[in-house]
Amino acid sequence: MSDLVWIIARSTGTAALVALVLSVVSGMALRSGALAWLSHNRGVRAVHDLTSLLWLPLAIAHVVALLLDPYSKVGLIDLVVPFLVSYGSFAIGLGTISLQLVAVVLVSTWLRASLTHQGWLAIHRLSYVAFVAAFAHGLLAGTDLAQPVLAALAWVAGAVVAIVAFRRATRARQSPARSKTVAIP
Amino acid sequence: MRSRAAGAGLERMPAPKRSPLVTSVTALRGMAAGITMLSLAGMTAYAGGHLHNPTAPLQPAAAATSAPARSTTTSSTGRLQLTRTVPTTTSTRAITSTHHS
Repeated sequence: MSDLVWIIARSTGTAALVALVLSVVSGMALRSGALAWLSHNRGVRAVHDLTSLLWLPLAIAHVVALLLDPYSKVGLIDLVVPFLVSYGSFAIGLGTISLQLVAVVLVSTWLRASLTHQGWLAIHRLSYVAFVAAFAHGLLAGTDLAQPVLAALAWVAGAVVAIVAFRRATRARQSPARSKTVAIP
Repeated sequence: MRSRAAGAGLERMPAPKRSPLVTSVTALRGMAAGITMLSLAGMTAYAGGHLHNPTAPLQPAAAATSAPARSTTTSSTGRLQLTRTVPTTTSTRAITSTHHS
């Protein structure tokens, strides 16, 4: 039983990180057009929506498995207050922070109709912080990312996110000028 | 329409040179779900075959101190190959006190 929850915790943690990578990349590609070679914006948007939803059950399964695992010594309080675990508090605390931030981003997406666009955008941008925290959590606490092949895959995924983020940032700087041009009557 | 846009000071958007690789939204969704599920299945298979990981970065210290009385010999949780040494200390202390008395 203990082995089973340990296997579930590891596999769902990795899969949740993969889903988060896909979600962040597709989200940034919506504005930057970084995935224009792959699909049109409607398709990229569909991937973004789906992977955000895929992430949720995987993250919940990861957390529940760790709660059930007697060896990991993760308690309910650690889901609310980060950096309290007696070992690897920083690495595990980053996971807590990323979980909370992505949860906030997801809830804000569901409540988007009742939020202002600026408010929603400000909350949605927390997903960048959440991704960095989740990635660092995976690297520092992930049992399997010490394995060279998995570590290489993780760094490739991180590099892809960094490239798309750079492209998104450079496009964001250009976009105000473009909108001014369009606004000229 | 074109002259109106030009008159309004709008620049013409360049037409896309190539059509995207995948046009079906369903296919894209399937790809994204497939990648995620493949990573889940692959990691499950890998983790099932590699329960022991001596290079794991974290090691719960509480596991070594909270339940020492239960195991008197080397015990492995199946993950990090921990060696619980506390019982040895306990027994040494007992021997030492006997020796002094």
